[in-house]
Amino acid sequence: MKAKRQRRLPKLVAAIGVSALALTGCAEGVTTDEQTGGDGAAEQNLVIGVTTDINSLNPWTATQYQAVDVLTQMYGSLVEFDAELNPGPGLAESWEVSEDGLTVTFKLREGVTFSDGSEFDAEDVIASYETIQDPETAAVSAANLASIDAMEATDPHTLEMTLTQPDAALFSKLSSLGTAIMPSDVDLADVENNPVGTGGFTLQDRSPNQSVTLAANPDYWYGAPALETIEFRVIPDQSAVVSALQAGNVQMAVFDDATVASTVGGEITVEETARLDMHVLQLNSEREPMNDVNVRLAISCAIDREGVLESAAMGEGEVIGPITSPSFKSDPTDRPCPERDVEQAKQYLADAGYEDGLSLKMIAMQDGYSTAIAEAQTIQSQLAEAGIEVELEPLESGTYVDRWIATDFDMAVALNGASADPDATYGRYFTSTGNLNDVAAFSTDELDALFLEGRSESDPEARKEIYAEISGYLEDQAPWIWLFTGYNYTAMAPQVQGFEPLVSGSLLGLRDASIG
Amino acid sequence: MLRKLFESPVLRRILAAIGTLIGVAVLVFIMLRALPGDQIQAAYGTEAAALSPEQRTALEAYYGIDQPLFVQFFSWAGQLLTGNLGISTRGQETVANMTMQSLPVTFQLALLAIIIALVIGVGFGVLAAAAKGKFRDWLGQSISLLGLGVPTFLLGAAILTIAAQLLGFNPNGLPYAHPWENPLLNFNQMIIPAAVLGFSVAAPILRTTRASFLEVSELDFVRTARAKGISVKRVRWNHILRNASLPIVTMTGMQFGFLLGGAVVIEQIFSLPGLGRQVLLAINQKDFAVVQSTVLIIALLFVLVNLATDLLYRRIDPRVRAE
Repeated sequence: MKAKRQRRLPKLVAAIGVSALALTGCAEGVTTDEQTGGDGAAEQNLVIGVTTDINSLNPWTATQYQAVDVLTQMYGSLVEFDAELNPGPGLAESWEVSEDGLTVTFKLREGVTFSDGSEFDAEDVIASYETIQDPETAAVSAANLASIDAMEATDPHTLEMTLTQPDAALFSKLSSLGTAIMPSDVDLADVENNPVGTGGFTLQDRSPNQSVTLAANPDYWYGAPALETIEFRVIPDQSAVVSALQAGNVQMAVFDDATVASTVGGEITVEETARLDMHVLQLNSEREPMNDVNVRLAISCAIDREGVLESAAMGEGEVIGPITSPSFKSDPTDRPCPERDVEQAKQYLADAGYEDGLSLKMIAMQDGYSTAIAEAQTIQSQLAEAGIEVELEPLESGTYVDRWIATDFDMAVALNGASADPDATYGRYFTSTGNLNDVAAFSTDELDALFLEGRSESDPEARKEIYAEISGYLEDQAPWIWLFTGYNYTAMAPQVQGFEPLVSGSLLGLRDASIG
Repeated sequence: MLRKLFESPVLRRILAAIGTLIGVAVLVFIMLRALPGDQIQAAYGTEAAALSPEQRTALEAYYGIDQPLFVQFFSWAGQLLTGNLGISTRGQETVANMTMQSLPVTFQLALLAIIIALVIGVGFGVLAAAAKGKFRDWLGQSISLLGLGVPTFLLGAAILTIAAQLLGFNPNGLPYAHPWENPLLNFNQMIIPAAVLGFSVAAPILRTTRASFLEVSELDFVRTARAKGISVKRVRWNHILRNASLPIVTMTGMQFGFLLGGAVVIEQIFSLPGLGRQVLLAINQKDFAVVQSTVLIIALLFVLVNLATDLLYRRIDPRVRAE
């Protein structure tokens, strides 16, 4: 028995050796193919490294950044932004607003087809918007369509929309992925497997937790994209994405962390674009003692925003006022204390009856974005100098979001999304009927009136003045402390050409990209 | 007759295994629900705050979290009994399909790692024990200390970065290749993570080998064998090691079972789509069916490995068989 086994062993080893050789031999060819495919030298195949898999293919319910990036390639909306984030033609070629601002007539683009081959027309728009408004859909953009009263297709490519009240921000709201158009006969239960859109790319392959691959749509109304495919490849670790860029496995990646972006180097170019989303300190104005505006102003004056930006984000970003969108941007020095003023802060505290100081609790997310805890700690030490004792509660993201949704905090360090139009950004937070007003914990009749005025005004210059007024009002009332915006870092291999990152963070520009 | 059946060690083990699995199922189910946040919050993030009450009701019905907890539990458990592991709420993929993709990855990684760990662990363990107190012993002990002391995430990330930056070698940046699709690429993708894991798992195996080997080498039969003129090498590898192997098998089995649970960190760093990442992502997204069923599969694997270890005992040691 023993002798037999011993004799068999060398044969086995030899067999393994031979088969390993055979494997190597036949595998070499495959690897070479793989590499040209991966490098995409001759072919128009772009690979983008992302850190997490997308969680949805349904544009109406998707909120995750990664999903939005992918779905933007596959779907289209009536309106698209230009580089300054002004609304321009998308699936709608043009539109007209009536004198009273209550009727909008959209002229829809002709000859557009969905990826299933069916023709795009006004009925698809009506069906999509009605489905978004239906609570059963649980669409994130339902509130964006709140001002729509009725819709009618006067001909296949003309849509007449009646509004309950004038809404100058409507076109900006209709540009979001959340209002993308799907065919009128779409089966929502099947969207995760068979997404149908009007975008420049269609779903080719999806392997969970690994990659999503899109193929160019040759019939795209904008013109067929130069890229043949885009693969969003999941590489969970950010530094592994950097390694993949360096080794040429992926040609593009977007980072939001300055530290990671700074490690890229080599021939990879890294482009900075300002982001819209705002790093803020939310104050719960419904709780004592923050229900006193003097306490809120004391906090506002005691914080050195430059210092927070410097220590939390290595100075990579810009100090901001309430409005971050380019056309409406607030002047960050237009606030009660344009510079940090600890004496003034103490004065405000004394006015509120807290000359001996006070103590507050602050929540911050540990694992959602890289700067939160550093921001919180800097703010904590700055407030201490003005006599405000802060107890910091670092929370795991699930707990944080629970507490944030329930407005269960004195102060919350937050990274809040912003839109191109200030009404879309703040109408939901700071008007008494807004769907996030509970979380913002602040509204007044004056603000309600100002927001209504901003929506009703159609003249762009007049609107800018109204939002400047809103911005000043928010600074004077200080329901939040606006800190800074960060950058997006788009890393690209030299062969990637024609892609322009947008301030909105949108990757729509991939339709103009090519590999040279 | 019945009593005799219950005294049978095999049946006792099977019953214990079933009990363990039920316990795991209940525990995972409860722990998932005790975590802050639900599926709605995981899918919508802070936008969940903006949902209207009607929208929220619709979503609760969609995710099935409007049902009482025990209804949720028994509908999952009932499906399990019919062999249905459930469906991921994202992507509509069945958990069975997902696991068919991820389990081979984890299994291959664990197998490679344990082979590497055995070569290092047993090899250096025997050498260290045979030269107790000398240089080789010191070398072996140092290796085991390094393996225990250097965290795998550090070693893994460092090797990955250095190889990519200096050599441009980064097979893990390419899409994962199954061994039956592209064996060479698969080997390139697997070997570094397996070596990193194997190195860390080698440490306990090395220590166990050394201790057990030292203990056995004091026994009388070793001296007898030497006296009969058998060479030192032969005594060492055939006689002592064989008799010292029981604790080594136990330790190896434990480590292998542990590796089958998915080496989350290594899978993350090296982009390997294994079981560990499947569970991690599902926890983050509160994809209850995926977490519950995958954890149960991992528990089942652990139980099976333990069972296999026991059987191996009986094969190695006639005394266990005789019992």
